[in-house]
Amino acid sequence: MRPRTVLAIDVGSTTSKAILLGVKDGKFGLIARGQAPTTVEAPSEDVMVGVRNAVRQVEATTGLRLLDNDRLLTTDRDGAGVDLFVATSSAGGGLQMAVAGVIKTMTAESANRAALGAGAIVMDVISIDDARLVVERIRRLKEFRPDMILLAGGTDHGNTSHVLAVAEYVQAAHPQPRFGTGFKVPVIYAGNVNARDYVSDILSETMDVRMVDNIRPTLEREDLEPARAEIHKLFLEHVMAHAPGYRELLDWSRNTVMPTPTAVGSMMKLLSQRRGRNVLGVDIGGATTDVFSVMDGTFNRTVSANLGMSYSMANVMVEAKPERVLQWLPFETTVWELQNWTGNKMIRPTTLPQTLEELMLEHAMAREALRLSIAHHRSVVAGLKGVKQKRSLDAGLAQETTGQSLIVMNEVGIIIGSGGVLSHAPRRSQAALILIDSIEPEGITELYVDSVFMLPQLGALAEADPDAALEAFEGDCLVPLGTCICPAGPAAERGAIAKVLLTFASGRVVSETVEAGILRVIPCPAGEEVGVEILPGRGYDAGEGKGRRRLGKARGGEIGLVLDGRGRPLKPLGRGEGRLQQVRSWLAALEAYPAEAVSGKGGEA
Amino acid sequence: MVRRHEAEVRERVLIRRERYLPLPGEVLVKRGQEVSPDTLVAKSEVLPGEPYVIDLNAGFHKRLTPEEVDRAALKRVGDRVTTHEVIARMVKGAFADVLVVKSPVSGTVEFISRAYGRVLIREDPRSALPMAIIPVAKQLQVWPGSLRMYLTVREGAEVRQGGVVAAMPSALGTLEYVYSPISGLVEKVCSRSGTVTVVRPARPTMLDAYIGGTVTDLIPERGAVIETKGAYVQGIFGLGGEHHGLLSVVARGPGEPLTDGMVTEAHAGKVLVGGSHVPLAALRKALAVGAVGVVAGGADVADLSDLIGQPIGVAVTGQEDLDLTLLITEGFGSMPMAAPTFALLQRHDGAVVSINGATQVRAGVVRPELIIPRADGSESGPLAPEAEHQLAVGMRVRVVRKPYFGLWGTVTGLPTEPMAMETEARLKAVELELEDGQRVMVPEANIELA
Repeated sequence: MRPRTVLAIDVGSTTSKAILLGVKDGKFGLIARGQAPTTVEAPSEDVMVGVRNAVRQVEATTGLRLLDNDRLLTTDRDGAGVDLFVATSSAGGGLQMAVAGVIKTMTAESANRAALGAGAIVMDVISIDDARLVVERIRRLKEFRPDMILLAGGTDHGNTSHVLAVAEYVQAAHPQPRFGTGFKVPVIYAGNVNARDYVSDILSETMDVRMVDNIRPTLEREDLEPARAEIHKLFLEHVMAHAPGYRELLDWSRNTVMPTPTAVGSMMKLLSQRRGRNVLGVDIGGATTDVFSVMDGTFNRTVSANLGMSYSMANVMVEAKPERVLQWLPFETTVWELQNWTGNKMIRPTTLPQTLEELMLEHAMAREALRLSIAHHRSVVAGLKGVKQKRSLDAGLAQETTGQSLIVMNEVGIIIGSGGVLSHAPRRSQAALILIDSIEPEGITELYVDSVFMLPQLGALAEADPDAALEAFEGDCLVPLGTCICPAGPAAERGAIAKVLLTFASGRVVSETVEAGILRVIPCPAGEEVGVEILPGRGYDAGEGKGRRRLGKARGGEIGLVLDGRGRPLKPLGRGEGRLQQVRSWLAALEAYPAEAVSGKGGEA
Repeated sequence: MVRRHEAEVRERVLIRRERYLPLPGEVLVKRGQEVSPDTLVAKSEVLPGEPYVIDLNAGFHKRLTPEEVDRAALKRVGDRVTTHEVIARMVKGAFADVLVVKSPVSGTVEFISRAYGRVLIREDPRSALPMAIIPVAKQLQVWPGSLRMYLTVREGAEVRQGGVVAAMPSALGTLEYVYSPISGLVEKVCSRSGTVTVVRPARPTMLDAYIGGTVTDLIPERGAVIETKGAYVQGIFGLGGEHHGLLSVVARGPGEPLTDGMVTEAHAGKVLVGGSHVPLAALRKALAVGAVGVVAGGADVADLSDLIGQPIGVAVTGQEDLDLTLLITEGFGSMPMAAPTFALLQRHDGAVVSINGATQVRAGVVRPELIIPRADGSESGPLAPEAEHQLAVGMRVRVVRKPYFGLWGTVTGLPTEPMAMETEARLKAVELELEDGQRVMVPEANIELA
């Protein structure tokens, strides 16, 4: 039976956010929100202080009684309390793991993917070919104090000595737990099954060893789920249970506190499953950017450290190069001014843009931070390396390397943007354009922003009631921006690169041309579904192969349908008047900023 | 809630600095002793202990099984060993040759790899050898005069512990190697004795007081606590480590930049104060004349990147190899120094000051500082940590972002509703009357308390 009221809480590193969900106007969705500073660290050292403060804010907003003498009330006849409580947590640095494997690009990479996908912050990846001295590896493991270690290596029934050597590093380092004392740090062994007894011999005295199926049973196969499930189980048993105050939070939530990124992944997976489309999500923060993807049901996540919108702003520019940032601005400024501007944002990270010029600068930086983060995600979420390839005579002529990215843009059907710069953009078209310019969707791709970032709480709810979670997610969380239609191919100067036939719900059929280098918007309100037929020109691919017709569906949104004729990958714009004209025309097409600021008559310093 | 003005300026405060050696050593001061910034507080001549990996497989010329490692090893994890002590023994071959492997250092066995046949010994820092003489000719069984034929290193080269110093083809067609037991520099190759001498660069650590003041506490073997009553200026960004020198206010006002023409030979050993800006040319000139510090309102990121030879990415500084410490009080670009900061520095022109550029924006914020020890005046209590304060009408504040960056004003209104900005965003805002009488609306996030 569907719960009538759900209290969900996400304990973040700085803020604990509570949301109350229930039925409003016949729909299940958000009723009230509350937040309070997280209290894992001193002086409180009890997570429940912050949790209760956030819940009390919800009580104050709604007038409902949810707590009784600091105890959570379950629904009673007076209407007090809630039917269900769920929680997620990334406080205290989230789930911090060290990962070890034998070969850097093979088992260690698989183990890294498993840990990231389970919501962990991977502090280091150790392998026998990582070009470090044995003592350095041991020292790194010792210094980290990880919550747990994932140890992989070797294919089943293959060589055992290398994975045993890695096990010995772990034993030599003997890392201590981050929270609590008197228990052993867990080690999940997901390597060659033949080495289990030896690994146990080496580690069981000093560590809590858990055996799961090999992450790489053969070179050609990767099986991440058993390791991920064990990580999640241990997160509850060890990390949560020993963190200050979490014992009570576990009691409240009937042992279902999830790591925040895992919960986000659950929600993305659910959306992908229900819509039958691959999903790519980005969450751009002040210091880091998270990228999530669900491709053919497989969830992956990466964290790009030092790519963010405040603390890491100067680093984004160093990595992206200033010229790439400048190309997105509808006015001219110098590299020198841009560097000073990003430096100032970095040293005063909490300030906000007050002028349009500064807003545009932030948006230009966001495009580059996202572009780099997506490139990182694509490089990590890749096919298995070192796999034997069967070659036919034809294939021999076109040799493919192993380890190609699994994120194929024209197979991504939905993009979700999250984080302050996207969620709080004054105009939704700004968020849409940032997503299109940085992620470069191909084919037919729906665009959304997460307006209130309650993905973690809804992800936790999805475990108990997926329908309720999805209803609240689509109703209160996701803001539909529209759909981007883009045939991929070389960036041409002029001419038509595709024809598009749009069939609206009313039966009206509109024929449009996608012009090279041009962005156009066809209005289409949220909730409307449009039939799309793309007839790409020679050399252009809309998802079915070059020059082949593609049929699909598009959804309307606050912007509508965006026809993008700029080609893929987007060509760097260079400098000069030609660049200004192009950028201004793109910004004007989406009405991203007030017309006078974009035309060059205003907004320039 | 609003933060205090980050570039904090305080007269007459109690300043306390703990001086701590990274390795154990000797404390050279006494409790109650008056010290100046260059007084040595503690010194350590201990070399940092290195971990040594001893390869039993190489020692026994055999790939050992885990069981063989167990049988051969004479030491267990945690055991202490001394230099040249036998740590593994094996009987091998038809003639039951007894082979041994000795420890090259004194220390503690930290780890024995059964899988790879390796022993890790953590060297005792107090017994760390400053040098190692490797009998290369003897190990390769060659004539000492032909030593250079087999060497892979030259005098002056840097070698790492475990790095190859010589190699020779063996009768079986494989190569035989000689490894360096320590990391260091190749000091000497002797063709008469057939040896290679590797010397570990000895770097005795000297710890000075950094600030002038009184020793109030001693930390055995490590250092001391120094206290002083003085004036304090906290900057927003800095480069370079600790320095001290005479304060020299060069700019005539907070709005005047420090140009290279203003820096002269007379500024050697001094901490120079500019107004709004310091360009690269002035920083280079300051370095050339031997100035130890520069304080200014602003500087350009590009100039600072040029100065340190690498881009400024994440703001964690203080470790740069610079003979000069830079402290910026306002931000990047040309920014007039806040008038109270400039006035304080002017009042102490000619005083001995201590300056540190270490900055960290994230995780335990560290800001650069300038300390004027023993400045005149009465005490006003210890430095308070950065705190958040409730805004109120009448408070004096400073704007820290465009378009009013650096301007001071008085709070005249605190709208309860979010206000629309030029960006079209609706933000929690504050109404200010700026010093020129202009009334403006500014996002609350963009102001700092005076």
